[in-house]
Amino acid sequence: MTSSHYDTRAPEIVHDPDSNNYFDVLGLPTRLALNEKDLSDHYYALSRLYHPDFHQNALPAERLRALRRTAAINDAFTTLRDPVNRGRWWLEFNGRKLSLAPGVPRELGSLVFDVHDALERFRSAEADITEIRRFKEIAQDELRLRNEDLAALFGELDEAGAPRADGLLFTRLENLLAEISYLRALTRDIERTLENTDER
Amino acid sequence: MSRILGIDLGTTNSLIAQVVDGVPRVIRDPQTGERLLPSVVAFTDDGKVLVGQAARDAERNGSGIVISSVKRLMGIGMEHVNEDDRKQFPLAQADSGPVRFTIGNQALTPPQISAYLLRELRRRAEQALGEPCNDVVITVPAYFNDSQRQATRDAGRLAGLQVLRLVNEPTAASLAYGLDRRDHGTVAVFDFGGGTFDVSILRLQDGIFEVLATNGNTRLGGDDFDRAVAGWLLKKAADECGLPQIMTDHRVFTQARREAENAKIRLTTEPVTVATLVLPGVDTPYEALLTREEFETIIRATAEQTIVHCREALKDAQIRPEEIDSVVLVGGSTRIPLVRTLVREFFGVEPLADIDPDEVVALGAAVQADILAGGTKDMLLLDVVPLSLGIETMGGVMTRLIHRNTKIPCTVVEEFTTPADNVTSIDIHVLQGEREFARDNRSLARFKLPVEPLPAGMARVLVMFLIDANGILSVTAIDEKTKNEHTVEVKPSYGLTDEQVEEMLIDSFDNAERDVTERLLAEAVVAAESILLHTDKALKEGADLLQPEERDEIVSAETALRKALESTDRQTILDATAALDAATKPLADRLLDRAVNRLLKSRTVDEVLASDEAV
Repeated sequence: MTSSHYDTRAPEIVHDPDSNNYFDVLGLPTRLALNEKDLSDHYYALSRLYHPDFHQNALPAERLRALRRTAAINDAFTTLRDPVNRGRWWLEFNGRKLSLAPGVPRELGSLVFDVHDALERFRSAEADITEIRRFKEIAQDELRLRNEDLAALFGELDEAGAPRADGLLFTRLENLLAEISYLRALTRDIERTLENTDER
Repeated sequence: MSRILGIDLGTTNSLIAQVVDGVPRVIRDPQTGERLLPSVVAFTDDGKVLVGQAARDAERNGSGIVISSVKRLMGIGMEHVNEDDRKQFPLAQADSGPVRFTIGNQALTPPQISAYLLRELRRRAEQALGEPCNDVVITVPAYFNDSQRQATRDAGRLAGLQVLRLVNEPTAASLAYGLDRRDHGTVAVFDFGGGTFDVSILRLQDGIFEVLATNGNTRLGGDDFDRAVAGWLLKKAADECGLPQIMTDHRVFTQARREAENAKIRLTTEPVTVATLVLPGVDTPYEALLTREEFETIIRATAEQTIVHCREALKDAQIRPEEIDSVVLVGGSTRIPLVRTLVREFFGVEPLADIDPDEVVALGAAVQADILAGGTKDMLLLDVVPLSLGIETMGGVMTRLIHRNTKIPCTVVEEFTTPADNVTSIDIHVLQGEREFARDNRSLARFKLPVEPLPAGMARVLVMFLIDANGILSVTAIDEKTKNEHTVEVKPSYGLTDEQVEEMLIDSFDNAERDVTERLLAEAVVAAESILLHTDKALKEGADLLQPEERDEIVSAETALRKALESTDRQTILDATAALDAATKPLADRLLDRAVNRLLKSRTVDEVLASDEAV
């Protein structure tokens, strides 16, 4: 069996597997506006180096180190891959304490109220499915807008360098992340209701 | 590295396979030429144990105690055993605790039954290859929880095997397909076997098989179709012959199940079939006509559940059905035309089934075995944990520490503190599942963390939860000041402790083949010799990485272990092995780092080579 179909060589990556900075772990520049392809390329390449499958025939301590390094690489990759997790991690990494149970973001108050009201009425057959579908579109539009905002804000943060933990940009980031998380959950709720309806 | 074999320990059939010259092949029984081993174990009235086809024949003759589909009961508690299973299996009388079978005057666990199957597969391989086979990879349903995985590993150990890896069945199947296809793209593996259903969504790229999400049900399979059809047949016979008592007659039920299974198989190729029952007190056999259409009506609701799991898996993977490039069919139940139709309609592509769905998992296991043995270097499997893992917190709520579909291996470090003054330990209850309340999830294990008696909240313990590449959890406590780590002994809720497995080895009644204390000693000796071998190799490779005193420490730990090996005391050997493991840690760390750094820097060299080749 030849391996010529695969590019099994690692790209030249300088990385620090023991760092608490996930970008360093994956050998990426510390930039929030990251390129998804770079991220997965680095992840795959490092997995090929550290994965326990390739260190089976070694000292037990070496196998254990390979196992833990792989766990750290998995954690870094999974966190950075999702923009919301990336942003949250970034805030905590920079010393910002995040609230564990934030309430409904102020900006979304009336939308959340309207959606829950409609879902409630739908369950008791007082609302029409088209109304639920309309709310799904609204929630998705709001989500799309905020994802664009987040991408732009990541760019601004990268430009600004590392601002202080109480910086205005950080507050904006924290609020935006809370809104996106909330909108994601709201969209899921709506989709679940619609799915259950389709199955019926 | 020695030979490593791949085993598919299935609900209905089991197989063993190996990679020869880069190609995975199923190993046949040298005596009968059979590839499949029926997963059936029979205990005859005269005290013999039959495995495979012989056990199935005993089942037909209605002699002795026969256990089939034991996989359904691996790693679960009596409280999770359903009514049908209580009818089917010779279970010990108990409402809770681990599942046990009553065989004569013995109580046997599901791993002990599975060990008979594994021993038979091992015998086949050893006869066919003419050499001892100890190291294996065993497949498990992707949706198996920690207890079910541990039970499978215990079965291997009870069969005298070293289980180097548990690999998820759908992922194994994708490895078997990936071998000749070298695909890029997004693949769904639809694995519908005799007793379990799994669906996994994978991304394939450059030989990396990355699982994005998995979903399934470990109690959903072809068995359920058989039961449904058997129920239909019994009811029809009872009604038409005016014999309501046959509905609860165990022997008629067994007959109906077998007829149902055969009818199901015939209906794969024929539009209509006849099922026959010999009823007590009736001269002529009862015959029922079953059309494929009617069969599909009977099984549709069960079959459609698989699509619900597919939808969940896609949602977790954040993939739409139309983004799936190909669908791979695995498991005997995917031969059913209705199942294929449902899959085709949902994913919108014609599913692939060019590798025998009964063999593809074992072939994939052999590929994974070859990866571990260092034979296949260009493929890598990146899998996920199927179910969330957490702990019970105040109010009986489950707090998630690791979410489902997290990539494995993974670690989470959690800080625990004392809720009241002067308590001397913290009790932790580990759970797995997706429900909000602890009681609705599966209990995995409990453990106690000893703490200093201090005012509430002052005593702190860090605990590291690690899920390895097998999807199995281990727990380590870390001292916050010294950073010292020590393994936490957990008490499994339904599984076996190490001591219990050892006792079973000692109790196992076919221990005539080798004395069991000797076997336990042999295990320790093998581990000791392996670490000595690797230490010697590492000392040569890493001579420049050690300070003289570090080297001396390793060498004296080696000497101590060699001396311990002269004794026949297992504990002395285990202790000396642990001491050498600790002494080699700094060397092992530096060796891994250097190996990785060399690979990282080798790219430029490779590029030069590549350009030379091009010229």
